[in-house]
Amino acid sequence: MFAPSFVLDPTGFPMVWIEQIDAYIHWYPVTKIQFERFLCDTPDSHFDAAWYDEINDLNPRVSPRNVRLDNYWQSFLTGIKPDEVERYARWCGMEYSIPRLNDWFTCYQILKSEDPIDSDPVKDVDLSPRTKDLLRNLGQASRSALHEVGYDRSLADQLLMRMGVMEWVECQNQRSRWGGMGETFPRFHGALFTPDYGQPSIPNNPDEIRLPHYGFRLIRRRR
Amino acid sequence: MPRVICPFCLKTHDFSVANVCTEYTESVPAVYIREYGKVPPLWLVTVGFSKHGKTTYLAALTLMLEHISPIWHNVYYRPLDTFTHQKIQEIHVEAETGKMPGSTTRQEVSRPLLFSVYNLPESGSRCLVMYDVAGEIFDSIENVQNYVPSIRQVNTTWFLISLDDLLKDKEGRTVTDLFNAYLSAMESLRSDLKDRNLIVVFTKGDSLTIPGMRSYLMSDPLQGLTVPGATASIPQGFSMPEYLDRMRVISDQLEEYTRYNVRGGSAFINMVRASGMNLVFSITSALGENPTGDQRLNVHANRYRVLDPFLWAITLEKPISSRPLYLIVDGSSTSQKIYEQKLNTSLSDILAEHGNVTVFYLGQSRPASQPGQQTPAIPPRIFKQRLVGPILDEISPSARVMLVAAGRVLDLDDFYETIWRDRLLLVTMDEDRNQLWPNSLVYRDGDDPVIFVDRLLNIE
Repeated sequence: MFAPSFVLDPTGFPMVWIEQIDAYIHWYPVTKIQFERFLCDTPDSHFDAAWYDEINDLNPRVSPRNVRLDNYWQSFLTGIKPDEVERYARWCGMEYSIPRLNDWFTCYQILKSEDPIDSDPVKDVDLSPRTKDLLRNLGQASRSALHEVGYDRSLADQLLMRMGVMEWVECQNQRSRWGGMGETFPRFHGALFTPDYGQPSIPNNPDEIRLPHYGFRLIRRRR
Repeated sequence: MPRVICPFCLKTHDFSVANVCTEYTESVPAVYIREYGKVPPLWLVTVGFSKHGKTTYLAALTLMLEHISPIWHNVYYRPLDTFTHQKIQEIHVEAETGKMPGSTTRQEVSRPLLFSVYNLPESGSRCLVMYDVAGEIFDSIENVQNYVPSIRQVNTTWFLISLDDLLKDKEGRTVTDLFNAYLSAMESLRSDLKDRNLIVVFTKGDSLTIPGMRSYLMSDPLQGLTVPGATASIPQGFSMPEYLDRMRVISDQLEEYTRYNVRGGSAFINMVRASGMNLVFSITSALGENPTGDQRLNVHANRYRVLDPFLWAITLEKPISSRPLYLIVDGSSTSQKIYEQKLNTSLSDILAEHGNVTVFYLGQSRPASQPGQQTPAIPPRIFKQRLVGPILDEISPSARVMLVAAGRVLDLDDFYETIWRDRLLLVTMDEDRNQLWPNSLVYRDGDDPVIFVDRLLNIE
């Protein structure tokens, strides 16, 4: 049985230890609330009001207290390009990075073989009331989403590695440096892609085009 | 360094450049600025009808404080500027020559006496910023606005009343008349009286025949402080908490006396209570006896209970300078009006009268100015999204926050069901309110920023 061990990232959101990759990984894909901490702190003029307007046009923001089955994906920061994720990861700290394909897939396989945790897994973690609200409502909404598509729920699903967003991963030996892993809820983005085979989805021109269903999570590796 | 409020104009200046009030071109004492954080100002205004003993009382009080050190170890007093020093010297000379201090003139009222009293038992150190306001000032609203803007800042007011003189008043004025004038003045300044302190000081107590008060006056254990060169000391076993308890009992007795025996007294008490002010009573005798016909002040006068109103003021006024207040101002591309109308700096200055103000630009989690610094007068270089969450997440939930926005704040709704709904006032520049928030006001051209600050401080 998987016994989660958590740390908080610089925005106060939980990351869970995965022994097999020797790193922590975000419990959920990075949310808009997390990214807003970065937006308000960075002096980088690239991330100005217009930038965030563009992001929200692609996938409008939803307040944690209003998160439901029909909008929960709006909580996540999507439409972001890989190089912008890298800038965010640098802001988080030297230990943070975009997961490599192998990291992501290893986590997925490990967690997919585990049952979900019934009680609130982050109940003992020191989270802000807003974060607690969001995580609770996301948990409920994603559980309903899985039920709607008829999937059995594993621990990987509890972490929204399916029914979340397509997540940027760094690829080696692929035609592009950047690929996507995950599986989206059809109401958010219809795509017949599964991460089960360990092969990433490879978007065209990931550095040029904003993809409304592409988000990310980070890993934190000890240095 | 805390934000320093100028004692002359009640605004903030950049005292790191020069110790000067740019409004009145007055030099602000360096010690006032330096000690502002640890010797917080206690703003006092004295109000009363002419010839009711205000100035005489102030003279007695300053003389008393002058003599405090030899008797009360570790306690000392210090005038902070030449004006105060000279004023006190005048009082000494007048005392020695037997001439009573003159009545307050209108020209003097905007200049306060500034002196600090250090290490008082139970109270610590406070800097008194004391305005002596002529009674006639309250006869007209225009006078009030011209001469005593200071009363808006003041949390504690001494109402000095000679009941004996009131009884003989040819115009038949009552304490209610005085309070009405004061109330009108405060209303004209759009000032909220709630939680302010009103200390009624019955002067010339030696002439009064209120039951029990004569013995209270004469048993003053601090009376030795009033005699120049006295070697008396505080009586053994003197306890400040017990002294304050006794003051409370006397206040209750004086209130009861006022309610039933002073013309207009009952109405006065009811009006003050209805305004939400804290009301207490005290009695003093600044001379110990009636002055002779040529208004001579006997230097060897025995002064009784002169310290009581002062102790009341210190006891009632809790220092508010440490209260954390936050002003978050829109810095987006549509926020020009805020800066053109200097709303941000006005709000910051007024908020600084009530606590330590930290200013943020909306969408930036690093403060634009810390307490004690000047509020930036211009918008930020980079226009950031209207986000407040990253700021609220980092500040104490006991703080009060004023958020000034020229459009919808993207994440304010996240906090609708949190404690911030009762701590944050949203001031919108937009008539078309498209933001649901329980405490919000629209700013319209010409609105007095005081309205918004009062609303923020009075959110229940």
